[in-house]
Amino acid sequence: MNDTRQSVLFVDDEPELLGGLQNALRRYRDEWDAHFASSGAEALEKVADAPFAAIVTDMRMPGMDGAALLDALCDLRIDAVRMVMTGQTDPATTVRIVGTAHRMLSKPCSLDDLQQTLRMVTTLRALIRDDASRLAVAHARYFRMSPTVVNALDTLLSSPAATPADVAALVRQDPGLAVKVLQLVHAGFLGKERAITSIETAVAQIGVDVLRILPAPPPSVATNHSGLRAAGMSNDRLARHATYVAQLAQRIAPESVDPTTAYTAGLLSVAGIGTIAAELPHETVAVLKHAVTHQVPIHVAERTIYEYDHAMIGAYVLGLWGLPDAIVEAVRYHHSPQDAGPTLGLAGVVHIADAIITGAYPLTKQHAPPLETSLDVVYLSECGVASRLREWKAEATLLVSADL
Amino acid sequence: MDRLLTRQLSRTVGLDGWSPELEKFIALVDRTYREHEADRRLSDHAMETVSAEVTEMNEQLRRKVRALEQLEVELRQAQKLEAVGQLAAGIAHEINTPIQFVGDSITFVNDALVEMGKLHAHYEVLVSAVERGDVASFADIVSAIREAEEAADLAYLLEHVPKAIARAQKGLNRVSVIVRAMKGFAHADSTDKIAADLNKAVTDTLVVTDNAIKYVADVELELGELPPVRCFLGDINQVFLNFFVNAAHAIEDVVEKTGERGKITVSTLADGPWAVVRIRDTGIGIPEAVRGRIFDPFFTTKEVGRGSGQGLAIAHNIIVGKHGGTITFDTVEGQGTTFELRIPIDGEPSP
Repeated sequence: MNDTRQSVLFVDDEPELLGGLQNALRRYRDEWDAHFASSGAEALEKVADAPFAAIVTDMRMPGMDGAALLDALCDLRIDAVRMVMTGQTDPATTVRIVGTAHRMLSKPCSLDDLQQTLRMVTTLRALIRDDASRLAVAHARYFRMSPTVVNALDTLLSSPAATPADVAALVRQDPGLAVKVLQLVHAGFLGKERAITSIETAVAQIGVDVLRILPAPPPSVATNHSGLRAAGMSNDRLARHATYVAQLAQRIAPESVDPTTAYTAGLLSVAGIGTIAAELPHETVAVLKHAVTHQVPIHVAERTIYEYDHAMIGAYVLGLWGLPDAIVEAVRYHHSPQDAGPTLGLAGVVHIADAIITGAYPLTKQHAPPLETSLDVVYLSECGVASRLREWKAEATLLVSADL
Repeated sequence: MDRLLTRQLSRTVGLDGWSPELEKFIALVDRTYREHEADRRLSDHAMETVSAEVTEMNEQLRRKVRALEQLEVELRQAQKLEAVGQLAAGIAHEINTPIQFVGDSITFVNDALVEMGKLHAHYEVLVSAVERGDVASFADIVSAIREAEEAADLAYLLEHVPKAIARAQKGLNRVSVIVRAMKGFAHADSTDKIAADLNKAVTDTLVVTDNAIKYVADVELELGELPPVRCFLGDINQVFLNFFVNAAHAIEDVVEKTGERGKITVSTLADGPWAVVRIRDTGIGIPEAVRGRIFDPFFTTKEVGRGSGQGLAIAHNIIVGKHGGTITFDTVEGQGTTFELRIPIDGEPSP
């Protein structure tokens, strides 16, 4: 029999809990090949022997606890999806593992919720066939972040008078920070709560105090990488490019699209670029060089050189981290909006904003692909908005020039 | 005054005796009298004022004492809330785990019943064939049954269903133990001392604090025979909780350095008029420099979030202040600490 099942490893110090899961998961025995470990050490032995699609661990365990196990899995570059199933969903615990755990399930967790989450993350994982990039995404805990914005946020948070609105105003300017905040607000809620796409709402719900205890991003992602800068793309420039895409997306959103969601989707459209640039900067340098030499859009350069493009990588990383489906889908289809639907929706809005901003404020100054290579003009006509292109381009020019 | 004196004098001395001197004298007497009267009124008034001030000061003092008492009650309540709040997360975890495996086990039993229902339909086919005497079809039906049994993995179901039910019962028992202990622990504060089983108070509080202890230490109980002890049980539970959590924290500091689990030993015994409770830990011990201050309010060596420095001060207040007992300790740095609580069994401070 050809075994197409996905291997999942459950780690818990309570043998009865593992016994219960083993029994209950029997229902899905054709889909999951479940394995069990009663300690972090045993889990590490098992992952050394066989590959797993996902690892689901308890938090509090004697000896190596869940957080330490997740750290070890990251360090070992195990490309499994990392999930936590815990009875403790207090902010301090959540903040501690928000990078290393892709998903948090709260105990008690119904079999359906467990099954749905496992299915979603493993389906996303299967999207990325290229081993190196799948590993890069699994390993990633951060995107590249703008040092300017990170420092400004540090300064702001050191003041007791910082308000959620002040904090949100800064978080809005950096996709790496924005994704952390959205990840935190969705941690442990598993879609039962309303999906939050607004950065302001997310910051307000998390609270400034919790953001103060969020671990600082490592210098490796929050400083400008010399190779990338030599290729013309600094972290600051990436963040600013994303902010322009976000602002333009918000402005051009039709009535059927929530402008706040459009902003966030626009900001996070660079998620794949930010992830790969953080994990595999030399690949990003190669992509930028190819894009400039041949004057093609970034995603075309990516597809030419590798098997992936940043829309897929971005969707995978955002999906893994539990961001709302609407955002994940918009990022996934922002270079092929017709796949997301025949009318101008969220993916289409981000597509248009991204293409126009690539003309007005590209990732590197030398990058100037012709507009028709990045913009799907047929799609625009089909959506009946081709006539507005001139106006939107003018908006983009205004946005960028107002900042310079 | 003036006129009254004049009339009486004129009646005594007659009109002939009236003279300007006498008139002057009368005026003098009158003035002196008036002045005296004014003085008296003034002093009366002063007395009244002073007495009002004293009453007011007394009242203020009484109010301040009341406010202080209230503050103390609130502080103790706040400390209790803090301790309970810290534990609530831990207890939630303790309860969530059994709920998880009870739920999973029931899900499985349900799945198993569905599969067995399908098998039962096959058996029904066989039964009706037997009733009809349709011997020719037996072989086919039996092979269909065997196939269905294999698909359902009947052997697995028969083995695991009883186990799953036992597991569910175990989980429910565990939740009951925790809930019962919490009820014992959160015993309503009564205004009177009640005769309480301190051994039960120890075990209840240990269940409630299990989550703070079990990852770092094993607990050994040496509970002796204790008569009922007249005490404020809610307060005593809080004292035990403070000592158990402190012991766990002291051991946690060792575990972080050496990775070795520690031990908490709780022993009880009756010693004449005293109930004695000893809590021994294998933690880091209390540094010499701070030994004199551990019962001071707000004194703490713990980092923020791990305690407000109220625990031992309140324990002291409850055991010594409210029960007339004593708290002593014996500590060796790097080896551990033993606290000894002595509580009068009859609820009265011994003379």
